[in-house]
Amino acid sequence: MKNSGDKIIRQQVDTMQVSFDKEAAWMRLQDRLESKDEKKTPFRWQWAAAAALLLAAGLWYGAQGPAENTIAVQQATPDISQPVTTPTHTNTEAPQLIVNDPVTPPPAKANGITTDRNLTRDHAPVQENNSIAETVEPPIAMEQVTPTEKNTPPPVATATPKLEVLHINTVVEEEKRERTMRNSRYAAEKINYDEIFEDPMIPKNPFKIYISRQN
Amino acid sequence: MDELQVIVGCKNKEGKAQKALFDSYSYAMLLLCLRYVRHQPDAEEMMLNGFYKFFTSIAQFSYTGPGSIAPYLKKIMINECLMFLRKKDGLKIIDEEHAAELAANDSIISRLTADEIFDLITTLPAGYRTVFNLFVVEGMGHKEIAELLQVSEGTSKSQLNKARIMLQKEMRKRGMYHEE
Repeated sequence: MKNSGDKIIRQQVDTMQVSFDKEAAWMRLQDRLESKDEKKTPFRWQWAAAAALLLAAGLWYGAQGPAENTIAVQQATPDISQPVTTPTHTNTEAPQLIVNDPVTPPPAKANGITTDRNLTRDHAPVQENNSIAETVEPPIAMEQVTPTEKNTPPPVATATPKLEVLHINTVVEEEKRERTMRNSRYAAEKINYDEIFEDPMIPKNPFKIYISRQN
Repeated sequence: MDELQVIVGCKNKEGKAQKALFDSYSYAMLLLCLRYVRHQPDAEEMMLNGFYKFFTSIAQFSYTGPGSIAPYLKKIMINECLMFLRKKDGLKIIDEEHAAELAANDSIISRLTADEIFDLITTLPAGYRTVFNLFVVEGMGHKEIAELLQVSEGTSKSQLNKARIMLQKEMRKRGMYHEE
């Protein structure tokens, strides 16, 4: 129940005087409102700028990438008389490949490796012949078994690969022989087991019988 | 600039219109906040929070005619103050259903000044003060208060009654209240 006392209180509290700096309060509020607006605007600008930069970078990469690439490879293969595959026929490698840089290790890509092999053979110092160069230099025996040379005639065999081939052949033959023997034994055993299971007079303990037969 | 122009300007985020609205209502809203949170720096912060919310969510406000801004703003301010009290003091209102109506002594109250009334109100604990403010000053009903504070109507009545008793005690202590 509301009474007149409450009404008086309501009227009185609205007439109360307090010291209040309206301008300062407004400035504070304005700062907050502006900071909110500013937060929104650069956010949109940032996205727009980032998108423009990405687009520009993409266009530049598309336009400049292959040309630089070719130049880099040409620089990297100073001796074209070497019987190695030059990477000029492909454009898939990284455009910023600097092969002559002694500090930067070369990337493990096909073309890069080919170029590096050239350098290792002809120009690069001995200490630069690191693990990558080792993996790049394949032994002759390895080259013989690569699937890319299936249709090519067998290369001129040196002493070492001949021995390896012979060794592989003997191993394969041994394995074949063992496999044949094993198969024939299994086949024989299977037949025996079938006979045993078909005979109702013999107790069904194939293991025991198998041992006895073996003995 | 009339109220409608101010609202349209605020919706268009015009600084001039926002400033005009702030100048018109900031003082009244500060007094309202002061009644709930007691300390002026806190009250100013609540008032600014309220205006900030009003300006940033003004699209939800529909102007229905002169005098429709103040109630809307008051609602925002009260909510801000209640949120602040809940966060700071907990604003625990214990459910008490037994409430006897206690009529205020009008003749004594009418002799009190605004500052004295304000001082008396601020001596009350947060729960009593909140219910007293909502009922006596804002003119809300117990049902509305109960919904806002998430308590029962009986609790609201009980809190108001206790607030009145405490006020009378305080007035006696200060020599303002004499039994007639």
